[in-house]
This record gives sequence, C-alpha cells and structure tokens, in this order.
Amino acid sequence: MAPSRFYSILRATSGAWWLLFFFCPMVLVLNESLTVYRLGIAIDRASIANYVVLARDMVFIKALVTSVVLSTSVALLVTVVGTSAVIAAWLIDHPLLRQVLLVGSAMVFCSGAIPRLSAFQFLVSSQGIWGAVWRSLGVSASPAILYTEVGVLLGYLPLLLPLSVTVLAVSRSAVDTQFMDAARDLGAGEARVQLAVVLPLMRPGIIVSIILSFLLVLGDVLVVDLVGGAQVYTIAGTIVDYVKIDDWGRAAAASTILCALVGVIIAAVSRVLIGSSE
Amino acid sequence: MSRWRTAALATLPTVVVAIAVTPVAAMTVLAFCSSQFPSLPWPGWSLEWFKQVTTHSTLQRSLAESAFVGLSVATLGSFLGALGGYSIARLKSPHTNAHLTLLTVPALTPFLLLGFCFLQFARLLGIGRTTTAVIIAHCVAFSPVVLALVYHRARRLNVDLEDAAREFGASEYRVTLEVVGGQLWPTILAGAVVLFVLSWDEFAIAWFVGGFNKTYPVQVRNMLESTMSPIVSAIGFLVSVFSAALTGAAFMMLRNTTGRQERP
Repeated sequence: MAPSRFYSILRATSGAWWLLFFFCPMVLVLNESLTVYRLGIAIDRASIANYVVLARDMVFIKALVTSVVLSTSVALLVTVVGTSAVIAAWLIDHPLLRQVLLVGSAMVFCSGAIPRLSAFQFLVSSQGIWGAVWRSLGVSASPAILYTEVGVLLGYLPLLLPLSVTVLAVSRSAVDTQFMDAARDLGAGEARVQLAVVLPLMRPGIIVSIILSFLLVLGDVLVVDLVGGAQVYTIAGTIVDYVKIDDWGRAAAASTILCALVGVIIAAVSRVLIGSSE
Repeated sequence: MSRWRTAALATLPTVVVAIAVTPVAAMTVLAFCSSQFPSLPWPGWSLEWFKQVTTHSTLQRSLAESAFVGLSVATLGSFLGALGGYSIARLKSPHTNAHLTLLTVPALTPFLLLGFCFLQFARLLGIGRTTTAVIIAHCVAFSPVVLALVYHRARRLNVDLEDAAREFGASEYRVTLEVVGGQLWPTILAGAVVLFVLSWDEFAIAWFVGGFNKTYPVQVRNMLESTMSPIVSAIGFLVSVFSAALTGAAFMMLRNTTGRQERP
C-alpha cells in the first residue's frame, strides 16, 4: 500500500471519530434547540420559540452578561499577572527562581480542583484565615468574600494562574535573545527592551493564555457553584438548571448561544494569531 | 543587578507561586484537622479522616470508577490521538493547520457544553448515563492533547528511517508499528498519563453524562453539598500525591527520551 493511501486511512479514522462523537452531538443540540417541549413532550420541532423566550428572559441575559464580564475579567487578570511574573522571573536571570515558578505552577495541576476549592472556601470564610485576620484587627464581622463576585474572581486565580504561567513561560523561553541584544546595542533601556521587543514576541503565548482562561471560565460550573453560591448566576448555571427541570429545548438553545460565543472567540483569536505569525 | 532590584523583581513570581500553592497547602493542613468543622483557632491534629477514607465504601467505589474510566480514556484516547497526530504530521498539504485546528477544537470547547451535547447524543445511541458514555466523551475532550504532542514529535522524526524500512520491503503497518511506534512510544505513554490525570479530575462531563456509578470528582462534589468535611481534604491529599508521582514519572520519561533522541 502506498504511504499516502495509508496516511489517508489513518486520517479518515480520526476524522470519522471527530464527525461521529463531536460534530454529530453538536448538530443534534442545534436541532434540539429548535424543539419546543411542554410537560416533557415535544410539541413543535421547527421553531425558534426557545431563542425568543431566552432573548426576552432578563435572568438569562443577566447570566450571559455576567459570564462574559467574569470570563473577560479573569482572563485579563490572570494573563496580566502571569505575564508580569514571567517577565520578572526571566529578568532576574536566576535558573532556580524560574524552576520554582514553573514547578510550583505545575505541581498545582496534580491536585484535584474540588478539594482545592474546598480549601479555598476555608481560607476566605469567616471561620478561616480571612476571618482570623479581621478578628486580630479587632473587627468581629469580616467583609464577605465567599458567595460574592469578587470571591469567584479570586477563586479562579489559584486554578488558572498556574496554567497561564506555564503557557507564558514556554512563550518567553522561545524569545530569541539576539533581538534583545540588538535593541540594547541600539541604546534601548531595559524597560523599553521588555515592552517593545519581548512583549510583542510573547504575543502568541499571551493570546493563548487569554483564550484558554476565557473558555475555561465560560464553561465552568464548579467555582461559581462552590465559591459564588446562589449570588453569582452564569450561562453555565442556566444550562444546568434547564437540564434539572427537563427543559431540553431551552437548555439546547442556551448551549447553542454559548457555542456560537465560543466559535466567535476562537475565530477572532485565530485571526489575530495568523496575523501575528504573518 | 543590585540586591534590592532582585528582591523587587522576585516579589511578583513569589506572589504567583503563593497564590497557586496556598490552597494546596491549606488542603493538606485541613486533612489533618481533628474537628469535623475546621475553624481558627486550630482545634488540633488527627488522622481520623484518612481512616474514614479507608472505610467509606461510596468514596472507594467512586475512586474505582474513576480509575477504570481514567485507564480506558488513557488507552483509547492516546491511540486515537496518536493516529491523528501522526497522520497529520505526514500530511503534505497547505491545509495541515486547518486539519490540526479542526481535530483539536473539542479540547477548546467548554466541558459543560461538550457534556450536554454528548448526553443528547448518548441518549440517542442508548448509552446515556453510563460509564461507556463518560469514557467516549472524555476521549473526545482529551485525545487532542495526545494528538498535539504526537504531531509535534512526529514532525521532528527522521523520515529517512521510514523510507529505508520501506526500501527493505517493510509494509506500511510494519513501518508504523516498528519504526514510528518505536520512536513515538514515550510521547504516547506520557500523553496517556496526562489523559489519565485529566480524566480523573474532570467534573462537568462526568456529571452530565455519568449515571449511578459516580466518578470521584462527582462524588466529592456531592459530599460537599451536605457539609465541608475534612474527609474531602484527606482524599484530595492522597489523590494529589498519587497524581504528582504519575505526572512526575511521565515528565521524566518525556525529558529523558527527548534528550536521548535529539543527541547527535
């Protein structure tokens, strides 16, 4: 058998798997979103009623806005802090510090997210460290972090910062030092070298960090549930709630909207990435 | 560089490591707490929660279920990922990047969305709310990780070795199994370990698609609904040690073989 034919068979196998178990479920949900259910029975199979209901539902719109704002805030915060930390670690030029930063970040991936979130709950609760700090200052009622939007934002930091730092560290180590040396020879100060040379060369890593953090927050239910409680309601929570009450049509419509949002973001970021590589 | 400047620059990386590590450290400390309701001032130390882990039958069943799902995903997912990664690496077409992007899209899809979509499909196939459905859904979500790893490794392999084997009359299957497989197996094995760790800790898909046999994250989440028990920290601590050992082994394997193969 010719090699090209053999590779085609391998690719066809992967493609068939992708079509059957990824593409088909997506199409099925799109179809389901056009079905209207009443008391668990499908009464209309070609209607945009689910979308119309969601568009008029202020709770859903608020959840969508909260999701986008939260995802954007977390993605930007994590990437800005991560980029600054990685640049600082490389500026010191001490291999041990870089190792500590990378190993410390990588170590976190090994521990389960739920036990870590449970520990985070303890840290920011009034019975935990946060409450103890305020009590030591003579304040009996500490300001609440748990079950607030700020708490959710902080809850994502220990989960996503290690991921962001790993991506950014790989990106920073790929920067060719010759460009930096050339900039220094031309009289640029260290700050200008970092801002005008290193940062643009780290752009693919920065974009990947933003997109990964954004997508992980957009589809997350754990942090919002454990740290946000009933106070923070996102699009992911909406889908879960519709599934719980067996309203598959609206759950599918909300999923399709989320899918479209993800598609737009991936397309936009891919465009930026291709633009930067050209 | 002055000592003060070094100290100032080291502050941010230290803060980042502290943010990442503090919950892990807190989880470890909570695992040894003597009270069922941890609070400050510290009530004292105990190994009680580790003893409870060894007698908690529901938790043990969920650990066994997660181990079964993880091993199945590691086997099937790494096979599928390796197949896709290798075939795309040998693709001589201007659309290679498009192929790669398309096959890695599932890994970029929010897991909640993937879980919901797959649940619909699994119900249609008659495997809704079963362990089989969780395994397939996890393979869809995580096999792109192995695909990307194998793709990048396969592109750096010496193609002349494959051509030489063909010249000597080896069939395509034999070339793939013995020449390519012989060079790629450490990457595939390391990828399989990563798949196991990812599948082990995945919640959203397992919650949507899984049935009565709950995986470990779903079981632990259910336990947290009733109370914040240190047993969750104890099991989290044990699982972290296990996962760290596995990931460390995979990392060493990948580093050693990459170094050996790149030596002239």
